[in-house]
Formats: sequence, C-alpha cells, structure tokens
Amino acid sequence: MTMDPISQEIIEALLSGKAPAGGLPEELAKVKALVDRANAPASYSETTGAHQVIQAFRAAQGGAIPTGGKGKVLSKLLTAKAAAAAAAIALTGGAAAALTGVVPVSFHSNPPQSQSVSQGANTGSDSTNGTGTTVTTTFAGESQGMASGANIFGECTAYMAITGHSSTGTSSPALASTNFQNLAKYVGGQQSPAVTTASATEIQAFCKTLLGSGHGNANAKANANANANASSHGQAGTYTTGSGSTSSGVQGNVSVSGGATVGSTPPVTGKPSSVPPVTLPSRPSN
Amino acid sequence: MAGGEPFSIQDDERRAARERFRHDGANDAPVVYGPATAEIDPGRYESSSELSRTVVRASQGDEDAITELYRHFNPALLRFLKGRVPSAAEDVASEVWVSVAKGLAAFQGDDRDFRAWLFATARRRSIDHLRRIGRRPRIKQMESSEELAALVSEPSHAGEQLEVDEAVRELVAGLSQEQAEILLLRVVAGLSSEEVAQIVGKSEGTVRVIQHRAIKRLAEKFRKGM
Repeated sequence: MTMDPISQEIIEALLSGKAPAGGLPEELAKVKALVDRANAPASYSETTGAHQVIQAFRAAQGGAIPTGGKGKVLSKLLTAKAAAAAAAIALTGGAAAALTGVVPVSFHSNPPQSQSVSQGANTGSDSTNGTGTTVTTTFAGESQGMASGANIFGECTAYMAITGHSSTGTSSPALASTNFQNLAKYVGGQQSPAVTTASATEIQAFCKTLLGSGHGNANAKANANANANASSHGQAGTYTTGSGSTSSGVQGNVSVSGGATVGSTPPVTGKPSSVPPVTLPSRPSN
Repeated sequence: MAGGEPFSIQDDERRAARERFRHDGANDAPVVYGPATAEIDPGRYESSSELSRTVVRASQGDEDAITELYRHFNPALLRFLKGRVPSAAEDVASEVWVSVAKGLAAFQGDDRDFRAWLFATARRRSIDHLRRIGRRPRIKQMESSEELAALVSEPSHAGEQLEVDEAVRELVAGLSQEQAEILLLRVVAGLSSEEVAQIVGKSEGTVRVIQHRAIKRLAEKFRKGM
C-alpha cells in the first residue's frame, strides 16, 4: 500500500504548525502531533541563564573582559593607575610630614642616635640681640634624608596643635612619639625621652617664638617645605643655631622675627648639604 | 511556483534577500539588514512589531530587552541544538549567545532577521562542535515503529522537558543529516523555507524538496507503526 502524495500546501501547513487538526491522514496527524510537541511552550529551565548573555554583551561593549587583548590593556592601565596613586600618596604624605613634622616611625630607618648641643660663639653674622648660644644638633634621621629645619618647624606646628598653647602641657600619648622627643631634646638639651611638663613649657615657648603669633607665616611654611623637599633626597643636614638674626636673604630660609639664624654647616655624612640656612629662635634659657 | 503557494519571490527579490542573509562565517558578524523585501508567509513568518522593537532596544544596550530576547528565543535554540548536538546543546547554546551578544550592538533588523541570524550562528557553532569532537552527528535510530508510535501516543513521558526533548529527537530520527537540519530549522527554529535556504546555502526549491522527503519519511514510519 502506498501513501497518497502529500501536497506542498500540507507540508507547509505541517511545518508551520498551521495544519488543521482534522482532515489529515492518520500518519500525517501523528506527524503534526510530533511537531506540536517539539514546539511545546517553553519550560522554566529553557528560559534561565540570560545573565550570561548580559555579561557577554557588557563585555562586548567595552566593559571588563577577564581575558584577551582588552584585558591586558586594562591590566596595564590599572597598573599605571596604581603606580600613579602610590606616587601621589608618597608625595602628599611627604609634604604633610614636612609640614606637620609627624613622620611615621616606620619611616625612620634608624632611631635618633646622636645629638650634640654646644654653646659657643654666636654664629649669626648680623645678630642684634643674640644670646651667643649655638646649638648644633644632628639627628640620625637627617643623614637618612630628613630635614631638620623643616622637622623642627613642623614638629613645633604639630606640638602647638596638640597642646593648644597650654602652658601646662598635655598628656596626649602623641607627645611621647620619637619626633616630639627629638624636639624636646633639641629645645631642652635633655636626654630624657619623655616630654615633661617643664620641658613642655620650654617647648611651647620655643615653638611660639618659632612660629610667631600666627603659627608662622606662609613663607616660612613654604620654605620649610622647600627644605624638606631638598633634603628628602638623602642630603644630610647639620644646623647650628645662633641668635639675633632676623634676616633671611637666602632662598629657602625660614625667618622668624626675633629668632636666631641657623647657619648651614658641612654635613656629617653624604653629599654636601644644599639645604639653606634656617632661622630658628634661640633656645629658651633654663 | 504552484498556484496558491505563498512563496512567490521573484528572482531579483531572492537575490536581495540572499544578500540580506549573507553572514560572515568566520566571526559571526551580524548582517546589516535592510527593510524586508519579501514577505514570505503570512502568520507565523510575519514580523512581530513588538518583538522587533525588543530587538532594537536590545541592540541599543537595553538589558531587559536582551533578557526578553533570550527568554523568547532560547527554548527554540536549545531544541534545535538538541536535535543537532544532543550531548552539548547547552554548551553550544552558550557559545551562540555569547557570539550574538558580541555582535548585537551592530545588528540592524527586525525579529525575523534576528531569528535568522541566531539560528545561522547556531548552525555554524554546531558544525564547529561536531568538527571539534571529530565525528558526525549521530541520531538515534528508532528501534521499531511501535516505539515511535508509542512515543507520540503517550504525551506524558517523564516530565514536560523530557517530552519535548524526546519529540525533537524523534522528529529527526531516521532522517539524513540534511533532512534533519532542514526540518529542525523549519519546525523548531520557525524559519521559512526561504530563510532556511539562505542559511544552509541551498536554493529554496531544493529546501522544499528535502523537507517534503523528510515529512514523507516520517509519515511512512507512522503508517508502518499503525
């Protein structure tokens, strides 16, 4: 028994799902049933997973592609950005440290090791009311690239900010930091690591003189920054404080009215110092 | 063409349509379609204006529209691939969608064009997969006509999805590769014979002959099973 020829219209109707339910030979009705089942409504499992297409589309639109050429370019850009951010942080931190005088301990490769304070002739060439006190202070950190002039200025700024011009001092734990200890040693010539109330008074008097009534002027801060920048390349500095001078004709000087001239002396170690003289007030008398 | 046949495309229209459906097989680059020049068949093959708008929105980056397209087309895509590469249908479908997503921003056309593009990509990916695994697609042969008849007569097999999968598999069982591919593109993908002709690179007349033989073979199987 042979089948009747199937017309093209019926074929098209079957394939397009438009064949009438009735009127078809039985075998074609079963073909229609099979086609209908193959075109059954979508199940849930067939419609899930659109997020993969979304991600692929986003990636194709220039988003982050984990692998491939664009990914390499992004990695390079991110590396450059990270390097730029690190450089910015380093520069900003350096400037902030120079301004405030607060340098994290981890930045000190060596603790302060030596300090020599001597009293001698006034080294200020144009001193008017100096006391003839010359203090030569060498911080170990200076040979490691720290700026003493800027440090003292910055430490005074930070110290006054903490103590708030209080004559009685403060018990802030920050005052026990290495930098303030150095400041205390510098001002008082003491070897005691702790900042005592008496020493705090001296420090405040010293810092008030250094910073002036307005905590120093902008030029002083700028010059301190300049000094810090100049010495941040590993130049050692040794400063001799004199008294009586108020002049600061050299670029980079820190001038404070009524203070002393800190003249530059040959560095202890390293390259010849290019740090200009810094004018500091004379040490208060004990 | 025979009288009453819905496929009455003139030669120049056919050439124009062929140009519209030309695809770059190397990178699945989307075709820039112009306005449809040949209405092939009313009803099923008419473009849905709503779906066409969804395609446009998707090509503009609307992620909701992309999701909508996925939900609309993925079932048919999966079923087509289960008929071609049953063991790797999901994987190949993912490849197809990734490829489509990459070219979606450059796509221009309506939902019919998108459907044709999607299944042309699916066909190429399935061929690539078969080449990768180094074998021809293997279609399960029916053990007996009674098995086929029983399958058709018992709609609830083991869940709806299994039923659909089985129906797809049995639709192409016993057919040649060519017949199976064309039947799947016609039935599951919902493409017209003209669109299928463009995708498989044959003339529309050849596609009609092949699909006719495929249906006839299926019918003969059922008749023997009765």
